[in-house]
Parts: sequence; structure tokens; C-alpha cells
Amino acid sequence: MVARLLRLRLALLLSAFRGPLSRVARHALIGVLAVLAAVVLAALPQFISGPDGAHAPLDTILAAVVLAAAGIVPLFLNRGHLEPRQFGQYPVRSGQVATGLLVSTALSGPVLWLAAWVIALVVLRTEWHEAWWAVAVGGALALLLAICGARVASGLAKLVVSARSSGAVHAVGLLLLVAALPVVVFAVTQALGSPDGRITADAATVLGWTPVGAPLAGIAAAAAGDPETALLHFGVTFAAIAVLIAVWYPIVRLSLERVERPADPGKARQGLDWFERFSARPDSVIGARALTYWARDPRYRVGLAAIPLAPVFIVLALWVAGVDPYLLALVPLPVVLLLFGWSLHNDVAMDSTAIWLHVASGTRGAADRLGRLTPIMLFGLPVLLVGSSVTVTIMGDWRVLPAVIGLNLAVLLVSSGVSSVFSALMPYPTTRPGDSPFAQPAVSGSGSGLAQSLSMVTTVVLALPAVWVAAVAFGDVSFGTNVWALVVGAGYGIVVLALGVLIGGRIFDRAAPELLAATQTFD
Amino acid sequence: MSNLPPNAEFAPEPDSGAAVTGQGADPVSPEVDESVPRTVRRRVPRRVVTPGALRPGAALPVHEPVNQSAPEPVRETAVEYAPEADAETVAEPAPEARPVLMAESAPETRPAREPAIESAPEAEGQPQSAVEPIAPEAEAAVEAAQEVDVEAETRPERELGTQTVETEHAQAAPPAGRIEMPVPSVVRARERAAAAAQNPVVLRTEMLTKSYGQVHAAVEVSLQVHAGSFTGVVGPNGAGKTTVLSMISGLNRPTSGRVTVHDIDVWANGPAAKRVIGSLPDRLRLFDRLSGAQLLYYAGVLQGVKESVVATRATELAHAFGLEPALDRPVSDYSAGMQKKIGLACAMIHAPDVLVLDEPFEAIDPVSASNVTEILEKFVAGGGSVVMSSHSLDLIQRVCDHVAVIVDGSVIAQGTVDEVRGGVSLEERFRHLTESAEPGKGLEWLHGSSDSD
Repeated sequence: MVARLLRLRLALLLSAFRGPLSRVARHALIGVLAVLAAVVLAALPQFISGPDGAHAPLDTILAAVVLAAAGIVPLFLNRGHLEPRQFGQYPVRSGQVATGLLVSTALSGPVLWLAAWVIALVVLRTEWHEAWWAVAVGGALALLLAICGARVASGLAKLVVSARSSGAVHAVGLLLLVAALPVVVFAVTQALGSPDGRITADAATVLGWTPVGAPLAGIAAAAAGDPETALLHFGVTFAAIAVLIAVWYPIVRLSLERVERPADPGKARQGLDWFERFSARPDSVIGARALTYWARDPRYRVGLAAIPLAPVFIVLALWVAGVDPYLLALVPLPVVLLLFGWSLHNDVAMDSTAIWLHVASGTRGAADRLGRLTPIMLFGLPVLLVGSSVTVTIMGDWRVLPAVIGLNLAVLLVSSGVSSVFSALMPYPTTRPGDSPFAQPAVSGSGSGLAQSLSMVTTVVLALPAVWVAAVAFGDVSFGTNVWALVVGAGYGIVVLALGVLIGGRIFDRAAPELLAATQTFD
Repeated sequence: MSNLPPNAEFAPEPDSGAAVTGQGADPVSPEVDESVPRTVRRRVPRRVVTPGALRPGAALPVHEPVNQSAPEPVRETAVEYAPEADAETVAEPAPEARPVLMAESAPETRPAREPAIESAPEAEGQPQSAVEPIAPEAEAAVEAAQEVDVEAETRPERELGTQTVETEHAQAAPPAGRIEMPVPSVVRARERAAAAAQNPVVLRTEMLTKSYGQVHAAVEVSLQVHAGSFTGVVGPNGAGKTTVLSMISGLNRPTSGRVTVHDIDVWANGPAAKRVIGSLPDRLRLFDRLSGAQLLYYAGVLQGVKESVVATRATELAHAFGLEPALDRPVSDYSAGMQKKIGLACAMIHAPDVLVLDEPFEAIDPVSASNVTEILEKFVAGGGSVVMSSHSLDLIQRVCDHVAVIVDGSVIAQGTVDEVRGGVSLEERFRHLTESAEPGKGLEWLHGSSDSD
């Protein structure tokens, strides 16, 4: 089985060089470029730190990033892989399939690229050549870790995530990449900019004891004449590989024994756009309905279009007033998220009398509230991640990233929670469905100003504790205060949101007929 | 005319899904009324007395004109001739087989068929009164049946009534060359009225009152709706029909009073009660940015229908209401009548026991209206109940078996249609009840001739 799988892998690999000449040439070019990239990556730390500088920390950090990517990327991007289920119909034991897949992965493109990178490292680091045994062990461990990590990640993803939702998972992965990219690039450039800096050294020390950083840290230690430390480093990676292999075999067995739930129950949702992607529960369908309305109803779009403009004016005003640009960079994102969550505070009135369906069907208020939050969370959280990352890049200090995320999370969740209460508590007349989004509400007055200002003030007041904790973290930039700010921001925001949903849901449950009567007077 | 085996009448209705017990030999059997498991919802066949006219599975044509205009003496004799159990299944009208248009426009098309039924020209001649002669006749049938009841003790009255009619045209109607006419809604409604009275009350309002300050929109409204009945709520504009119906369906909180469905209080245990009510309010929007298919799915899920069932129900409802070509279009693009229909479909997708419909026929074209009537009659035949308001007394008289008249927020009359109208047309009775002044009085200035100079 193992030999057969290896042959299969080889055939797959060589198939890239069959067919029309142009295709072969393209693949050959890609291969050459990839190998060149591997060599450049291997040479990068040496190039930055100079011919005789201390490049060991940079080596460790880069290796850790590369090996971690080998384990993380397949979680989201695994469509091209050979996978256990493809062998489900053959009379083979799951153990054989598992071994075969593991061994044959060595012949896959990414692993060959990693091998090229390791070889380039070995060739380029002349000071390692005395500790040749450590180089051999470290390089082998790095490759093994990459193989096992990628296999386990992709196997787990295939097992847990159904084929139907793999597109969504792919999108999430892409989003995380986009969100992380500014910070990673910033952190790496900072580390590369000061190879001797304390931060870089600290990071390398920490990473050196993680499985992903340990192989190169071990080689460096052995080269520096400390074989005991080297063996300890290798031991960390070895243990990780053992765990991964131990997990891999059950994953393969489960993959071969389980069948994905057939798509039949999903049929009801076929061709229903957003409804297709949400489960058939009241809160989910209300969320899908809200998303459909955001896409189809111009009233929502016009309301949202104004949101990015607000922070521009605020920042301009503060800049003219002479506020420190370092703090100014913090302002736009919370303002955007605050307005985004607050835009929900009159959502029931936006539905107008159509809300009768929720009342007549006895929909729980909490489900109604939760469903309406769906678009806010679906768009708000990515904006938050990407925006936070951009914010710290502009501020020029990536260490405050946790505090920035905590602050923004708290603002988004608090404003959503307050809106959940107010949309059930104080609906006020708004533009009717089908009217021009720029038209005035048919009925005016009757508390629109009060509801708007009251909900805004409540949001700001409730957000203050999290803002205070984050401000402390900005003043005293240490790891502890920053993580504390993140924990407080997220925890506090979730508590306020949950309370908002519960209270708003309770109000909706009790006063749904009155809410309907109110929308009837607006219509 | 062929004889069906006696047990054919117990055949489950193919599309309702719930087996329906036909009245058959013992329409008032003990299991009919109190043994209804009230908290257990549906799936248990609704054991409800349904009139013979709606007996499922009996897809036989009927010579209905004869049925209508038959003279009394024939019926008297017929009773004696009809003791056999299988004879009563002979002339079942067939809801399924009935052509849609014919059923509704039966009074209008009748004159065209005059040659076939010369024996009763005066009844056929005026389309409007085609509705009229039936009820007295039906009453008479019941009376006659009651008389005979002493002799045929084992036989319940209503059954005798239908049976007489049937056997009578087994005798009187020569099969050759007759044009087969389906039984119109009105006959079924009359038969249903008596049948439904045997059924338990599913929907009850007790002293339901709604006041807006000094204005009383509903005053101590007490209604009872039996399972398997089709109740019409009529009243002049602004009488409070919509208020009453929305209080029943949980959309408008009453100032005082109680609404119970299957003994579940709508205003104390809303979510549970609303699972058995399907409602169609008037003049409220739908989520009309959704497409028709999305709206059906949305309503189904919100009303607690399992996802695996929603799909089939949505397709079948769309087919029944003729909405299939429009399912992918936004509901906002629908015409008013189509919006009513998709609203109706949404109200029915969770298979409720009671449908509360506010002006369901407003803006619906005649063909669709007859289609909708047919769907609702099948629903009622399966043991469901419909409460609907309408301005059209003609429609109420034609399709409803029970009626409640609401004026100025109070119920001034309720009962079976025949009880309420007391021998005259419903419209006449209604005018009498509401005591509206002579129309046109005081409008002399409008008539030009009198004091315009």
C-alpha cells in the first residue's frame, strides 16, 4: 500500500511535466522560481545580519513562521490533497492508508519546497557544518513536523468541515490572512530591522522552545557547542511529531468510517441565497433575512454609506485641535464600529408592519434580536480585525495590538447590545419599505431624537470601562496590560451584548403586539 | 352510478395527509367529540365529523340539479327505500373531481344547462336565487329526517337527510344524457353546518373587549368555532372585525377577555397557541424584499416547521395557489391578489388547526378565489377550522357554514348561516340587523332633480 501510494504520488508529481510544451515549461518555471525563493528565504537572515552577525534568532523566527504556516494553511486550503476518504472503497486497513499517506506526502510539492529550503540553509550556514549530526536531526525533524502537521490539519479540516461549507472556511482563512498580514509584516520587518534587538532575541528564545522553532534553535545550540540544550530542543519537536502521528491514525480511521451527512436536508434551502447558508432555526433565518434586506433594500445601504465619513471629520477636527497623531490613529476604527452597531437601534421600525409575522408565529424575542445582529457581526468582525491590524501599523507599535482589538471588540459588542434593547424598546418612525431611502419618514417627530440620543449616550457610557482599561494599556505598553485589555474588552463586550439580547428579547416577548401597533402608526 | 364498498368512505384523503373519518354509518360516534387529544398536535388523524358531501375518496359525479329541485314526496318515500349501508355512499360529490370554475360559478352556468333539467325551470332560471332554494330544502330534509327518525331509530338524522337525497336521485334521475353537475359550495356548507356542531370547540373567545380610550373597538365578543367549521365574520366597515381577528391571532392585545385555542390561552401562552393558529392579517406588509420561495421558507421555519418538511410543503402550497411561476420574484413585485395568496400560503405552511383570515378574498380574481375556496374547504373537510372576515355577504353565505355578525364591536348574531338569516337572504337579514337607514335618504341634493334649483 505504501509503495503503491508513493508511486501514485510520483505520478501526480510528474504529471505536471506531461502534456503540451507550454504547460511543461510553465510548471518547470514555477518549480525553478520556487526553489529560488526557498534559497532566498534561507539566505535572508544572513543577508540582513551581515556576514558575521548573530543570525540565529532570525533563523529561528523565520523557521517557526514557515513551519507554523505548514500546519495552519492546510486547515483552510486543502482541496488539492490526497485524502483518506479517497481510499475508503478499497480493501485496505486504515492503518495502511494512514502510513501510506504520511510517507507519500514527502513527495508532494510543498514538502519538496521545504526540503529545498532546508538544504539551502544547510549549505549556506557554514558554521553548522561541524555539528553535522545536529544538522541532520534538526533538518529531518523540521521536515517531519511539516509533513505531520500539514496532514493532521488537512485531515481534521476534512473530517470536521463538510464539503458544502468548505468555501466558507476558505473565506475565513483568507480573511484571517488579510487581517494578520499587516501585523505580521510589520512585526517581521521590525525584527529584521534590528536583528540584535532585545525584542527579536526574546521572541527567538520563546519560539525556540515551541515545536515549530525548536529544530533550528537546536541546530544553533549544537553549533555553539551545547549538545545537551540541542537535544532538549529536538526533544520538543520530536514529542510534537509523536503527538501528531498519534492523532493522525485515529483521524484516518474516523474519516474512513464516517460518511458526510447527505445533502438532502439542505434541499429546502436550495436556491434561497443567504437562507442556503444558514441553518433552519428562527434566529438563523432572521439573520439570513436581515442579510438579504441589507443587500436588496437601498435604505440599509444609504444608512451604512455615511458611516465611513464620520471618522474622517472627527479625525480632521482632532488633528486641527493638535491631538497627538499616535492617539489619532486609534480614533477612526472605534467610531466606525460604534456607528455600525448603533445603526441597528431602530431595526424593528425598518421592517415596518411586516414584523407581524414574527409576532404571529410566536418567535422568541431573543431569537429575533440575535438574528438581527447577524449582518453586524458578519461584517463588523472582519472590519475589526483588519482595522485593528492597520491601526497598530499606523501607530508604529505592534505590541498594543491586543489592547486595540479589545477596545474595538468592546465598542462593537456594546453598541450592538444597546441597539438590541432600543430597537424593541423605542422604535421611531423611519423611511417605509419601498420608499426612496432619501425620503423623509411619513410620520415624523414622536421621539426619534430622544431614541437616537438616548441609545447613543447609553452606548458611549457603557463602552467607557473597556475604553479605560485599553487606555491604561496604551499608557503602559507591556504584554500583561495588553492581554488584560483584550480579555476585559472581549469579556465585557460579550456580557453587555448578552444582556442586551436578553433584555431586548424580553421586551419583545412582552410587548410584541404593542411594537406591531407602533409600526402600524408609522406606516 | 356504481356502488362503492362501505369501507371506501374511510379511505384517507390523499393530499391532506390526515386520515379523515367520514360520517358513514355512525356519524355521532363517541370518539368524535371529547376524545380529541388537545395538546397533541396533528399527525394524529383529526377525528371529526365531516359531512357526506365532503367524504374523501368518493369521486363520483352527482346529478345535482335534480337533487335541488326534487319535490318533497319523493324524499319521503325515498327514506323507506334506503336502509342499506352501501346505498348512502352512492352519490358522493367529489371535491377532487370537481372542476374549479364550475363549482364557484355554478349558479351562473346553470341556465345554460336548462334543457337537461326542464323539470325545475323556476329554480334554475335566476342565477342569483340559485343559492336560495337550497337551504329551506335542506332544512326540510332535516325535518323530514327527524320525522322518520322514529322509524329508523338506528339512523342519525343528518345522515338520513343526505341519504334521502341520494336515493331519491338514484330513483328519479335517469343516468342517460344528463349533464353531471358538481355540488356547489353552498350545499356542502349547509351539510357541514350540522356536522360541525357535533365537533368540539377549538377556538373560543370569552368576553373579548378592546378599548382605545373611550372608543370601544370590540365589546365582550364571545365566539365559538367548532372543529371542521367555516365561520364567517361579517359586519359593516369599521365594525371591529379586524380588531377581533387580530386579537384571536395574537397580534392585538385585548383590554379584557380570553381567547383559547384547544384550551391554550393565546394571551398567556402565546408561542404554544400560535403553533396551532395560522393567520393572515389585512393591510399589514409582508417581508416583501424576499422572493416568494424565501418568504415561504422563512414563514415555515419561524412557525416551527422542520426543514425537511418545509420544502415539500412550500412547493405544494405554491402549486395549489398557482404561485409557481412567481416564486423567484421578490414579493414586492407581486400584485395585490398574489400577495394575498402568498400570505395565505404562509399562514398554512405549518398545518395549523385554525386559520384566522382577515379579508382573504380581497383583490383576488374570481378564478383564484374559487381555487382558494376549494383549498379552504378541503382544509375544513380535513377537520381544520377557518375563521374569516369578509365584506361580501354573498361569499360568506356561499362558503361559510357559521356566521357571526359584528356591529359596533359587539356580536349581534351568531350561529349557523341558516339560523342567522332565518329564511331570508343573509344580506336582507344583515340589513335588518344593522338597522341601516333607508339608503339614499337625505341625499336629495345629490339626485339633481329635486332641489337643485
